[in-house]
Amino acid sequence: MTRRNTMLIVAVAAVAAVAAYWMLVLSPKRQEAAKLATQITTKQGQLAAAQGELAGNEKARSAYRANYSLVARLGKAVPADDDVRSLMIQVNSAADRSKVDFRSIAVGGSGGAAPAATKGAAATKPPPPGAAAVGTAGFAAEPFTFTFKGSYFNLSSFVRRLDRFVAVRDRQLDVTGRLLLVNTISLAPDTTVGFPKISAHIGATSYLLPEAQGLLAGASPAGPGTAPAAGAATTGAPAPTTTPGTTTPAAPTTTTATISGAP
Amino acid sequence: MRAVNLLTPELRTTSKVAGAPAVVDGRGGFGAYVLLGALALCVAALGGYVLSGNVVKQRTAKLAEVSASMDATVKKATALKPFVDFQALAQARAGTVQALASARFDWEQSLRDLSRAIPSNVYLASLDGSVGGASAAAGGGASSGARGAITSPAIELKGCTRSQPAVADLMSRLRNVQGVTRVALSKSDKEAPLTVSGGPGSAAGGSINPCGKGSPPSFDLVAFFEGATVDAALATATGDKGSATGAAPATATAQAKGAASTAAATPTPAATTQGATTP
Repeated sequence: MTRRNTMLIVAVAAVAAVAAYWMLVLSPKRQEAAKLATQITTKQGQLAAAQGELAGNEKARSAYRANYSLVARLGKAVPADDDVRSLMIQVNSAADRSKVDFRSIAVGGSGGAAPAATKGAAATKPPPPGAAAVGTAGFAAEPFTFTFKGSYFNLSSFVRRLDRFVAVRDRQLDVTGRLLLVNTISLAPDTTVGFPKISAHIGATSYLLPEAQGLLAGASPAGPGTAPAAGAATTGAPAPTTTPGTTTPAAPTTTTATISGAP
Repeated sequence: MRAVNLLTPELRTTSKVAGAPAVVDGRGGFGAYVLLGALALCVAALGGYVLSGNVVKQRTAKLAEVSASMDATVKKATALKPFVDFQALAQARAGTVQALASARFDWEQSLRDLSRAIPSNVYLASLDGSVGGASAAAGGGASSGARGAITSPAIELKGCTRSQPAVADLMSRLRNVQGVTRVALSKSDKEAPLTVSGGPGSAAGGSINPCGKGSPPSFDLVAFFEGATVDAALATATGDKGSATGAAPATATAQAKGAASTAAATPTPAATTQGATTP
């Protein structure tokens, strides 16, 4: 074997050793390092997202008292159950102040074609008698029919008072009573005493919270419930809303709810 | 004198060219270089391996740290999730209530505007208003066909006046009421005069025509408020198009219409007080 051949063999061996080292030792390490770098980048992205979510959640926790107060106040406008006695007192109070005679109230009606399919959370429990669940919001609509007697302008004023139970001003809700949507008004001269007494039949819709959520959705002043418990909220919560007017109907308290982020 | 080669026999064959330098240790020097090169390669390889290993260890540790941090963050966020759910619930309720409240038709304003618009020679037997939707589409009980044609808030007026031009004048006045986009006449009929019993100025049990002697026409017309899209707003608010007002108005309208149709016709305050007591 000549010296030149020897050198050639040594060079080839050296190159082979370097290649083997690269392929078998160093390259896997580098691949592992690159893979780890990718994983770190991914995790850092996830961490950033989680931190953002955490920040939002902490903001929600800091706003819990305000949200709790808002939900409790909204319970006056949209109660958890039909709460007809409160409604009667509120309507009677408005009628008295408008000098209108509150003659009758009828819940629901035989001609009401309730939607057959209940949706959302309201589907778990049937709404109160006379109510029909509507919409994906889960509110149950309960129709009422009222009869009043009074003068034309007093009746007009009375309708305004009904609307003012829940008023919207500059994205703020002023809640003093039940949310009522007057759908029909029928005025005719009173059959007994005649003009100027007017007999008014008013058809209105009130809305109820989904039974599955309850008034406060299982929340308490200490913190929100882990899961909406039907019925638990209405019994365990401090009753801020469902009894407005039952004891002091003449002076309903005004609550203002500021809407943030509402559409 | 004979030349003597003083070199050892091993060296004598290596350099036969005259003047060429003699190689002192050729084979031993090459081997040393190879050995040195091999050692250098080994050191470099080892260095590369160690550095790569360090990078891997470092990144593994960092990944573990980031993972632990993320797990802790996710755990905290999960623990606070009920607060977020409750906030979403509160905002959803507030938004829905606001949407429902904003979707209401302003009956009070419309009634006041009507009282201003109706002339003094018009007598109303009934006034029926509905916001539309299913009740309007279904004809609204005793309401006319004109009311059911358009599912917008509308007020249907039934009464009488002194002449056919007076009916036209009434329609013209109603058209000028704020929010009224269309006034549809169902009928204006002299063949079916309006008679009332027990009205002011009449004897008990008597029957009179409040629009005077002769054959004054009785009318039935509808003023539509097509700009007030109550039904669509309610459908948006409840997320359920078509059923938002479907249940309530049907019943209420049926009862109200029935009562209105049986009521005796006497002059309404709109007719007698317009122009004098408009607030």
